[in-house]
Amino acid sequence: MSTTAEKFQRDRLERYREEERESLQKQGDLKQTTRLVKYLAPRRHLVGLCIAMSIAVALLTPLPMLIIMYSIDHYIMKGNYHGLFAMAGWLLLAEILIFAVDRTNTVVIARIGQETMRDLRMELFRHIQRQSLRFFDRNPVGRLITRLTSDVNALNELFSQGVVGIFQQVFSLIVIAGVLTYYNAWLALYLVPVLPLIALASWNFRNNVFHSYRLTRVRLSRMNTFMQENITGMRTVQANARERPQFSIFRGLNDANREAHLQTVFQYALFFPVIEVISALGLGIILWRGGMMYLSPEASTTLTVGTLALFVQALERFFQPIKDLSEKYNVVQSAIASSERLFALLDTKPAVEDPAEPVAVAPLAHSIEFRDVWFAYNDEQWVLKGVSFRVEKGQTAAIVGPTGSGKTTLMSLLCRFYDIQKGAILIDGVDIREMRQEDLRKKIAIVLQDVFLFYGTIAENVRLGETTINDARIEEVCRETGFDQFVRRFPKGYATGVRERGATLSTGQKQLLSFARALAFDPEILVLDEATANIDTESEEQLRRAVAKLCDGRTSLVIAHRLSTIQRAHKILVIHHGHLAEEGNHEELLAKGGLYRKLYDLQYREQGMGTGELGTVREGGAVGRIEAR
Amino acid sequence: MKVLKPLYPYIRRYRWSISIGILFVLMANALGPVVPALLGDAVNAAEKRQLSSDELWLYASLLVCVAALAGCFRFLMRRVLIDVSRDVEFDVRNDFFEKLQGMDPAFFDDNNTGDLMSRATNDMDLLRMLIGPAVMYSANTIFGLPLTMVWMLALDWKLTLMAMVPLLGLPPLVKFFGARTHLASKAQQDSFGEMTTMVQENLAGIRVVKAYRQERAEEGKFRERNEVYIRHSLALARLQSMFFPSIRLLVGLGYVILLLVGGRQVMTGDLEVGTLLSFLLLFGMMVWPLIAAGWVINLIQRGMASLQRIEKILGSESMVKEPSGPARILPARGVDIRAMGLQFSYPGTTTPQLADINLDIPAGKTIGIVGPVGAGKSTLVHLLGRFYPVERGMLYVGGIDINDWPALELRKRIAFVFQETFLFSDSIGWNIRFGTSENAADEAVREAARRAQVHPDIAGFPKAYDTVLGERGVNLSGGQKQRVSIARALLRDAEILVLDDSLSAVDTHTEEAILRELKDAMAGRTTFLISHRISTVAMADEIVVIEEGRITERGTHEELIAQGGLYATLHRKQQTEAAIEQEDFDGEARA
Repeated sequence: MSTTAEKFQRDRLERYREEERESLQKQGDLKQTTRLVKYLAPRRHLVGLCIAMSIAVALLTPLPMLIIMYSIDHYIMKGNYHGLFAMAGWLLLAEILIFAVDRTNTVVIARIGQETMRDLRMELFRHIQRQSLRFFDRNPVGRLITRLTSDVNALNELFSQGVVGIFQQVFSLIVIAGVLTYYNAWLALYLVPVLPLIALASWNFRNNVFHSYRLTRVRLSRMNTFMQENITGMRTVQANARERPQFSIFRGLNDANREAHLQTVFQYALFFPVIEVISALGLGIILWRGGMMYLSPEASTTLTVGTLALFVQALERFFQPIKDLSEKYNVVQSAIASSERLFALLDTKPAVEDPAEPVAVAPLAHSIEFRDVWFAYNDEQWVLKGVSFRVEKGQTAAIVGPTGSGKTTLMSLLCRFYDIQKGAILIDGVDIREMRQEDLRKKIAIVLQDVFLFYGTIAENVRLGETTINDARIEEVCRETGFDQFVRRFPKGYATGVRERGATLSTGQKQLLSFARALAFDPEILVLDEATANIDTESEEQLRRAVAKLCDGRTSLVIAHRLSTIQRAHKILVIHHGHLAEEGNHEELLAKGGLYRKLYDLQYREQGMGTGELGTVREGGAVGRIEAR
Repeated sequence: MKVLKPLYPYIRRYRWSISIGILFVLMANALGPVVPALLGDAVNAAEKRQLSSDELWLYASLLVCVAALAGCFRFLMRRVLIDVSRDVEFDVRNDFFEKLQGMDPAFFDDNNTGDLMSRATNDMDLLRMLIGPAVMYSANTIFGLPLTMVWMLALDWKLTLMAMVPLLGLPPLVKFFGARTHLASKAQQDSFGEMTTMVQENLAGIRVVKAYRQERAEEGKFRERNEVYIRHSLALARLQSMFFPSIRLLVGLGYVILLLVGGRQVMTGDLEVGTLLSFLLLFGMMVWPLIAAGWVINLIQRGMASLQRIEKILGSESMVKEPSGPARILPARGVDIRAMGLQFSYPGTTTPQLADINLDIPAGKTIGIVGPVGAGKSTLVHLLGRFYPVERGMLYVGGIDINDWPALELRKRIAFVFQETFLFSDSIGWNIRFGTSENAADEAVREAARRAQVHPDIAGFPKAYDTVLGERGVNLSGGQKQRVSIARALLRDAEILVLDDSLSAVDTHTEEAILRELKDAMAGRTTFLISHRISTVAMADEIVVIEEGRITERGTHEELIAQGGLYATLHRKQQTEAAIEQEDFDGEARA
């Protein structure tokens, strides 16, 4: 009868074994990697140069040995000092040539690799920008950054180390073998029995290292995940006094990780000396058989000292590529995995796409309409269930409702950040899905509750990338929203730097900046999510005026948190549980005494009474509890 | 070398292995030059025709044997030295983890998870390289270079010295490229960082980018960063492309001298041709240790920087100190809790988080705590669990100053359910047992889950309590997670129960059911109920309202309602809110 603790231990180990089995079965798919060729095409001249250079490197490698062989046989052994002098000159020249070719080749390879990566990275970035928000909801920022950085770099390794490296090494193996056979085919033939030994050692190493490499990856990541999880949940561990048991689990993971790594260490520790010993075996054979030939009286099989020197030196060079090739195996393996992930990302189709034949977009003429709109972020969990309403040109519609009723979703849908499942959203009677996204969004400016600031100056944050908005225009919109009075307080004015979570600007000031941004783009339609955050009274009044200014003469959809905004709106839409619950103006709805009346009592009435107790009210109220992010 | 001091205790443990490993390095290097020497000897003998075929066979087999022996030593040196580095890594990582377990929450606020993980991974790798490869390759260079040189000098010192002349160019070459490579690679890393930051920002602000149609402008920005990064990468590649070929060229010059001078000596009869061959091979053997030296210096520098970063964590101290001096006799079950003028501000800040808190909670009573976000409600119970340091004389548990309680003993008596629930990627059954022992009976676990209203959810999974949570398993909803944590606390049977806003993600109906069940659990237990919802705390024996760190109202539910303060206001609002939640309206009918 085993205890529960043993059962947990057993289950855990079973899960681990399963993970390890899975990872060992996964084989890299080379097919994806061939897509890399597409990116090499624009640089085919450089690629041609690279191939020529690689061949040159391989051909030049045996040159110094050949010169030394020739010098020994024809000059040193014959006492021709003058000739030796010339040979030394040739050797020097050969070395300089190798230096030049080697260096150029490295630069060419780096250029091809880096430029290819640049293009690939650019394409990835562009592809990501085209995705709808659904994509960003599903892919955390960290993962996308990894694709754009480490995965792309891994692909560079695959190219420079893998493809080019392997080509070079294999080619130089062939050249050296050719040279040896040319100068003494018999002696070269004696080396043939060594080849199966090398093949066997390399094959064995490759298989074992592949196995232990995968194992280390799985175990390392498992250990790190556990550590990360424990750091995040440390308070839970401490509160439950579970430090010892958690430590012993960690120790076990750490030990498994060490064991897997030691296997890899063993493989490498064994492989390098084995190759060296095989190489020495070759040397022994050459010494023995070559010596016999040298000593042999028959002229037909004779061997010179120079040829012996050539064989001895070439043997060293012959084994270098074999060591390198085997080592590169892991690099290539992980690069293939990266390329699979990369190309899978590139194959993701954007969920929201432009129509094949977009309608020409005219200025807003009469209205925005939601017609029986159904929408769910996840398949059947409806957030909006048949919402219909109409906002006439130039009017302001205030959207109110409890948290989670679907207000923010309405705004995202109007901008077509997501496509709706049923119904239609129409601008002047045209379905927004028939317009190009760019044309649609050109009509709309959206101001979100959380103001996002880019790293840059205030001016850059108002203008964003729109070069047509000049400095005078920026100052104008900042004046109109009342943001300029704060900007003027900074010594650098509009050139003051801000950053995402920097403390340069207060929450209210950030709001004003985002209003100025919206105004600068001069949209036909304004979509505004009013901030609920605590704001000092000075900014509060500023914001009220700025909102009025923004909505003035524009068709606006505002998620309202301020009484003043609601009172000014032409129409109030009360959203509740994904339905349009009530519709009408402030007075009408108050008089009706329905949901709006209750919401008003709960959220807005006290603003009207001027208690300024916004913070406390929000605390217990429906709006504050979950929305406080 | 002072930087290395934290490593001594670890190294000490493996000093014999390290010594033996270094001995193997020495042996392997001592045997290295024997092979070219044997070869040269054989050639010399053959050249003079003083070699029988038997002797030739002997030379050849001796050569292979020596190489095989050297190979064995190389295998052993790698095995021993690299294994030691993995062992040290194992030890340091265990200590690192154990250190983290003893740190207070303030430490984790200062050191975010990403930073700690980067120390535990990247820095740990570099530290291991410092102990393993760096030691092995330095030993290799330290023994290999002189041993090879000694052989060459013994063969012909004049020729050796002349061939070495070009190598004098090596130190300035290394220095020249070292400094520039350092700068270039820093520039490359910086531009890489800038590119990453830009992408990160773009992705974080993707809504704004899309809403204002900035995709193309952002592409332009990215293109710029991308180009700069490529420029720096290519500059670095160009530098590096000079370095190794340059070393090769210097060595090549050495060969030219060897050929010229050595060849001349052979002609004059001062040198035998076999010896010249040995020279050529020995000279080639010196290249690798020379290149390795530059690499090792880099490893050591980076390893030491990483060691410092790890040591910073290993050397930190928790602000919550374990009681010193003789252990006190701790009271039996049934402790009362008393706060007397309790005052607290978070370490490093001056604004008091709690001020003048007076509480007297007899064992077994239930206390409700209400108040706005950030008022200090959670802080109060964190202090009770000794997560932060408290001044002496302010907080007593069972009549003993909280500072005299060993944290572990104290926490064993308290079952916490925090606002943010945390579950591990293991089975649900294991997670519920997390607070007690893994051996708790299945029946008890089910009972706890039933009382926390989560049993039906769990039973609905195909593998029920064996369902694994997390990335490779099932994801629970916020409410389910909270209920599992409540089950975990209920299973613990601790004498103090702390529910810190732990029903926020469950609906009102379930909340009522849980509270009903909790009533039983709370009997005979001191319970802290912290909530925004009045409905949660209404049944407490005493309710305190905390605002800005001070108790502003206290009493029973009825008393507080009668007082007409914040408590009463919240009560009224929440009733309206509940009414709205349940509202049926025309919209439903239309749909």
